[in-house]
Amino acid sequence: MSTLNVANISDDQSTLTGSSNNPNDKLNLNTTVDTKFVTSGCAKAFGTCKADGSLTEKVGATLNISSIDNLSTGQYQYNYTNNMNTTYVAVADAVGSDFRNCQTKARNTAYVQTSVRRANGANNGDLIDHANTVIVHGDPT
Amino acid sequence: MSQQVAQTHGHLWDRLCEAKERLEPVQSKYRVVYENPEDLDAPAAIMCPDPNWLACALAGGILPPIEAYQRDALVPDGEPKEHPYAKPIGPLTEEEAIEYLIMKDCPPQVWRDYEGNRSILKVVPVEAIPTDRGFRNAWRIMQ
Repeated sequence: MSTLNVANISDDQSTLTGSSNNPNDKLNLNTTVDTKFVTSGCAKAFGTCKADGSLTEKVGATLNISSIDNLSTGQYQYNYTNNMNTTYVAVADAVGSDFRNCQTKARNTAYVQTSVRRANGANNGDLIDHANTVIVHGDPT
Repeated sequence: MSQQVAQTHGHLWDRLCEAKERLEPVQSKYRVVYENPEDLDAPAAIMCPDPNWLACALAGGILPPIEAYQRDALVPDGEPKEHPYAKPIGPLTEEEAIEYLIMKDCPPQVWRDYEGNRSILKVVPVEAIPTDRGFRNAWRIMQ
């Protein structure tokens, strides 16, 4: 694997139509960033599991996840391969359904737990099995 | 020390990113079923190895030794950890990889500290996991 060492990344003004003369263009106000903002800002762990807690073998479905525990109905635990340096990482949970919601139940440096619940009907709020995705931003230890 | 070691084999997270580009994911034919003796009301949990992680375990040269994780478990949060910089281990068989995963991701009270006579941990083929999840919260390991 080759490495490209770049200190800063700058956008190309010529590709922004009419932006160079527009002071209100937010894109034009900050045109150069240190690459550490790019590398620090990318997700450090993510995973998508099926309703039963199993994982797809599709390439790109996970990063930095060693296993997923299906703890009970609608409760999943994503275990990291490379632990995080703090408990206070930013976690985004998602579930691909209008009638379900997904929330972080617990997290520490070694794993994050997520719950999926019904978001409509008589059993609103009950835990339910559903495919879900977790994305973690933070710093690996 | 960690900086010196990192120059020879890199950081674990970097190795994982590189391996993800290079290795084909491997779906395990096993699942780990366990009950947590510290949560008696909880049903049996089902652990599924990640296909990308399993590919790394089978390939070798990526994952740190399990002892590094165990020592790191005793290190307080925020202090430097050993496992990202530890020298990677060689290739594992799938069975060895599952054992490694149990020691890494299952609570120690399940695989190390439990002294009861109930079976609370089993490695089973995927087909042994019921497909009917109607009573998922009542699942227990059959004795």
